[in-house]
Amino acid sequence: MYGLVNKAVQGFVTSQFGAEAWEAVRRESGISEVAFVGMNPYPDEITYQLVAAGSKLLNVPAEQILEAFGRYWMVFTAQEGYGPMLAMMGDTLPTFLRNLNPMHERLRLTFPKLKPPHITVTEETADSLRLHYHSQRAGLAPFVIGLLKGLGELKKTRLTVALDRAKGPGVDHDEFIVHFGAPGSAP
Amino acid sequence: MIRSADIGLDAAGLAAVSPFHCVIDAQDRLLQVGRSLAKLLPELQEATSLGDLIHIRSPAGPATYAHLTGCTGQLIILELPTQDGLNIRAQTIPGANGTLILVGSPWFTEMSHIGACGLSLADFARHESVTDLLLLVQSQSASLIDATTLADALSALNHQLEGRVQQRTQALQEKTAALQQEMSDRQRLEAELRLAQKLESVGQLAAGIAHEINTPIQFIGNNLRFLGDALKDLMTVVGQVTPLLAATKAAGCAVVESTAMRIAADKADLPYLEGELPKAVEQSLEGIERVATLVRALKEFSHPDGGGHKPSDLNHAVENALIVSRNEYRYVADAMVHAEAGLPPVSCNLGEINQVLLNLLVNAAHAIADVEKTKGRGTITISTKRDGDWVEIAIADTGTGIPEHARPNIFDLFFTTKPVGKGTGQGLYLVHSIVTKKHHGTITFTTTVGSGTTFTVRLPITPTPLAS
Repeated sequence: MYGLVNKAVQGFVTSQFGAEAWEAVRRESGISEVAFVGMNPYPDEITYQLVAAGSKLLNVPAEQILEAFGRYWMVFTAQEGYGPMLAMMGDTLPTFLRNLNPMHERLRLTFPKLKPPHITVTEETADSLRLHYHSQRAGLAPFVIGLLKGLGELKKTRLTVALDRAKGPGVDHDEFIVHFGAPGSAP
Repeated sequence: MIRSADIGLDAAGLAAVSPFHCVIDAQDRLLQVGRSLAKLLPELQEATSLGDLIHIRSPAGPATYAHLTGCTGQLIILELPTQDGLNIRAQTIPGANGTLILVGSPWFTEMSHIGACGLSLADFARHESVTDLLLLVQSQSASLIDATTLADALSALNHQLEGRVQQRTQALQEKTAALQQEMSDRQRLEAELRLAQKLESVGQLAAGIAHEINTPIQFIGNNLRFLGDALKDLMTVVGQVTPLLAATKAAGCAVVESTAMRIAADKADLPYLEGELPKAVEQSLEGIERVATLVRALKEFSHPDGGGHKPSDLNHAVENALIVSRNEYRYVADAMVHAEAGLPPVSCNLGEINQVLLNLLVNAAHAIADVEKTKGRGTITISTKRDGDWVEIAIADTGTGIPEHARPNIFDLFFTTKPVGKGTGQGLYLVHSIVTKKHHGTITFTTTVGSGTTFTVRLPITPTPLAS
């Protein structure tokens, strides 16, 4: 993953638990990096090690950490200057989700080693949709749930997310059912 | 192949391809404004002429049909009358019916400026690279910040490392110094112990010998005194023999016996014996008295009563030290003592002070011996006096004096100016240690090469740690 993700993990731990907690997580993870460069690709293991260390030290299940991190991701990317790009992706939740793949493709122009997930939307109604999440990486379903919740907060849209089908034997991707209200339905 | 003439591009198509376009005709009338350009500069929708609002920065000139036609094939930079003078990079393409189409897009260097101008990325053509370039710039800016953060972190780590190295080095230096000090202390203590053991052995030996000598000396002295008394009586009796011999000779009786008696008396040289025998006894008594004095001094010197600090008569200690060291100086120097009468007892370890006096006296004798052949017999002057709460003992010699280079080191352990085998470099170190450390006193010296040296020992009458 690109350093931007690890920077987000650092920002998440620091903003939620303090700089000392981040230092403890970093040490516990056993990684040698003391800081990350956003545009540098890093092995995925580093991110997984950081999440595992955070889970151990903070005594929080990894799934919860990933979900909280997913919510934080939307805040973080806006902070890092990608807000205009997110804003360009659409005013409504379905529009935004449909534009995710084109956005990832644009990002691949800048980040050539990016291995983004493939996201499609089916069964779309006025207040719900089914989101298909195809990723080479495993165990990121809680992250997607958090990301969708963060997106709802960003778009001020009330929503609920549920994992309907999990990636596993015979299932090549995760599927989520998203119920959402009208834009502005959430504070 | 489709010919260009067959490709029709209506206003909507033009707006999609270039949302920031505008169209003017040969009369400089503004015919069409792209939606994004209109969003950027709403006044254009009401304007009749492009030149009313927009200035051509490059190639510099008015935004007129004539000037713009002349710019065909060139990059045109339009300057908008916005607050920060936003620039649009553009080019002209000929339109239908002699119109001139100006296509282009604003130039941003930061993503945030897009929003500040009231635009969003959706206002750009989808193929427009400026947004992706901005994303790249944004990412690279973030990377620069990352690099700065990393550099700062590295610098901080380096600083920490330097600090740690400095701390460790300092700790190591302190440990090394402590170790050296410990080694030095141990060496000093071992030397002191060896010396103390040696002195203790010598002292015990001397005390034992003194004790052994003391008993025969006593009866030799007693016998000599008896012999002296008996000799007087005997000489009185012998004095009566001469008149008796004269009387018998005159009477003519006992001629043989008296003649034999006279011959024996002549042979014995009675007058000589009468004169010399009392002197011999007297000299023997004097000699034995001197031996007794030496033995007594040696005994007191080498084995003073008990250890520890006790009030002691330093004048008496000086006398004893002179007696004990007499053999060292008697052939090269005379000793003079100026002892202050009524000197108060000084609380001290007398055995140790005796050692101080003996060392200083022996050194004085050696210093004089070194120049005795050239300067003749020297003098050792010992004086004592009270100075407030202190007693001062000065031992002055007329010897060689201490050379200047040796002065700073004379109290150092194992430092000696004496030939190998004569000096061990422990004497003055021990003297200094006893005076300053064990008695909280001081020892100083004045010296002149060729004239002599005076060591002055000052001891507190009642030693306290503060006295030093």
